[in-house]
Amino acid sequence: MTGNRLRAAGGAAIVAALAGVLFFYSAHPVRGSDHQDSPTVVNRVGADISDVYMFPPNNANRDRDVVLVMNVHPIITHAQLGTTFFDPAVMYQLKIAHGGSTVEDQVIQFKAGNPGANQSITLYGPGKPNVTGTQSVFIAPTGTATIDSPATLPNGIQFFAGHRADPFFFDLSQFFKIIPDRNAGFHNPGPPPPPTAGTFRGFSSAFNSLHGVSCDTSASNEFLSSNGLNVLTLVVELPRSMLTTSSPLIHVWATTSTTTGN
Amino acid sequence: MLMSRRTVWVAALCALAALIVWPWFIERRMTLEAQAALPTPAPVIADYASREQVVSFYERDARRHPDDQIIARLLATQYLQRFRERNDVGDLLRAQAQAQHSLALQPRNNIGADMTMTSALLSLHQFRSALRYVHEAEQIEPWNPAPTAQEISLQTELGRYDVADKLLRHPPPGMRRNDVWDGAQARYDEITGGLAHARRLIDRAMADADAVMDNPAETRAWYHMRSGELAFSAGDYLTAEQRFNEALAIFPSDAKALSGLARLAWANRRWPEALRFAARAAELLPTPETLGYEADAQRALGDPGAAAQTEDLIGAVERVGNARGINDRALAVYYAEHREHLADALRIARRDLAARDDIYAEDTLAWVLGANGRWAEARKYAREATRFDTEDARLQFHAGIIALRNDDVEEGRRRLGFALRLSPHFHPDYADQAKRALAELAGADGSKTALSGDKWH
Repeated sequence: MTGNRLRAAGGAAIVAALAGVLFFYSAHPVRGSDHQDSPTVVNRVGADISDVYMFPPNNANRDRDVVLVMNVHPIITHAQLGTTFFDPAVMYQLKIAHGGSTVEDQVIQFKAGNPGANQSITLYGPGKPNVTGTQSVFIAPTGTATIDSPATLPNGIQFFAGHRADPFFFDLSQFFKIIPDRNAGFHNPGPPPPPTAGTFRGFSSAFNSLHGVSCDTSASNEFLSSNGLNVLTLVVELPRSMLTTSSPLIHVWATTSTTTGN
Repeated sequence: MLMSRRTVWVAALCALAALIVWPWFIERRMTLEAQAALPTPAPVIADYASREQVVSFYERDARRHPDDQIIARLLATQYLQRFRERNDVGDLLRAQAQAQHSLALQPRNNIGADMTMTSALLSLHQFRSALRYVHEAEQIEPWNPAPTAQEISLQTELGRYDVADKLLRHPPPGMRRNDVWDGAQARYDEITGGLAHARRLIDRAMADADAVMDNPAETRAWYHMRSGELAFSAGDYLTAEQRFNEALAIFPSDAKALSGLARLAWANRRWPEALRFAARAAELLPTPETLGYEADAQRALGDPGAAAQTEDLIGAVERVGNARGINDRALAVYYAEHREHLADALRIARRDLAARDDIYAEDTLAWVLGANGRWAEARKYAREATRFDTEDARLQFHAGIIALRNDDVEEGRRRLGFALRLSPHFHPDYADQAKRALAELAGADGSKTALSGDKWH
């Protein structure tokens, strides 16, 4: 009887401890993406995912490795480079599903240390997630890098976390001239005004001659890159074999999470 | 089984004691629970240090791309933030111009420009004009609590408390805890007699704002400053001082936190301290209120020449530094308290009431009318100002004196007592005057003639 009670108490303690660990590390998703577009990410720009990229590296390991990139905290001017860091309260995460599944069965996670010129960023995984869906728990750490300094981690993983120019390209001002649906409504009731532009900008005369078209040859105004705006980027180059364990087809997406969901 | 009489008495006393301590217990438990639920503060980033370069960056880009509505909006946001950090009203006008430019380029679905316009107009005290833009923002994103919270702030400033109340009762569906919403609710509660709840809300908002590393330092400091203001209203001077100092640790150029410390020292007659803080605050933001603390401290420390010079500055604020009447209320209060420029004070107080018919404008006009000897007219506005029994000692003191001047001894006694219970050191002179008046009323059993010893201004 006493032994049973002890076992029961021990079991309960273990369950409680696990629940405590789960509670401590569990995180709720922050919903939102792109460049400060939704209220949630405007309120926490450090958790704003601007873009996710996946491509083969441009080096000798092109046929062996794959590069995963997660860009966050968009619209950093040059003046803000010294005061913008990864948010230590945010779990940054790349999720990977295999084959026909849409549920992640592998994750790569990142957690930042105290902000500053020597901020540390720890990479966890890739590995099987402890929980899936809208909650996340850190898995085993693989290694740590210092902000803006590339690092070689175990298992042939190359890791960089730091400031980089935003590679996203889109002439948004011109887009609104071509499709001016936003230029009507509250201030000008009635149907949208007619387009004031027919093409994007930045075309060359040679292009127009070659194709027999008259696209706009004035300088384009790409908001992010031509204005010199930057992001915080998390870049991982790793052997493809680490991600294709159960299927050669993978789906990759990114999430940011906090313990409060705010 | 019958209980003895003694047992019945003991049980009754225990029940009574439990009833007495129950509210305290509940309050204490709620406070502890609220504290336990607060997030961990994030490190402070000195983002304000690079503000000038960031503004220059967007100004250059705006010149390069005059047809880009996004750059215009971002520049407007930076001007607005620089205003909050440096208090140059010119930045508000620049923010307004850039937001208008952005809206001209993209009139629809431009919520960022709408919200920046709203904030700029609110800071310029053009509350009614701001409503148009905040309504647009609410239509664009009805699920976003920020525009509605901003409208609640505007309606509260305009004294439309019924509208603010209705909005507060209908938050956007699924709204999570939100520091901006909590801030607006706290202001409403502060005005409508819920100071304790307002303090809990603002402390929660402060913790939430502190948890986000990328929040501007000035924004984080603002919540600490507001918590300090509410603590002062509640007579919790230690917390007030702590909060103002925290605000300064986060954002060292926080003129409002310095002014709060000056007011705290001024109210408690710690004149050297009041002078030191007021001078620092006035150097950053020369408002009539802060300059008033400085002048009073200089007078109390035996330097009438310096006090006269400081008062000249207050006059200069009225003449040249009162763009769009944003200092109207503070000017009228200062003139009424010091019995100076009383005709001007009346004109200014009426103008303030026309801009926003809130309880503080009503209180200011009531006190200025009293200072001009128009006590019967003052009564009407004092009654309006105190209709929510707002826990503001100065407002209650004004209403109490005005009631006594109108021979309403009962209300006068009640209001003065309320003021002193709220905050026993709310004012360097008025707190003592309230005590003397209550003592005299007790002695003279309500005779008006017993109150002739003090000048009620």
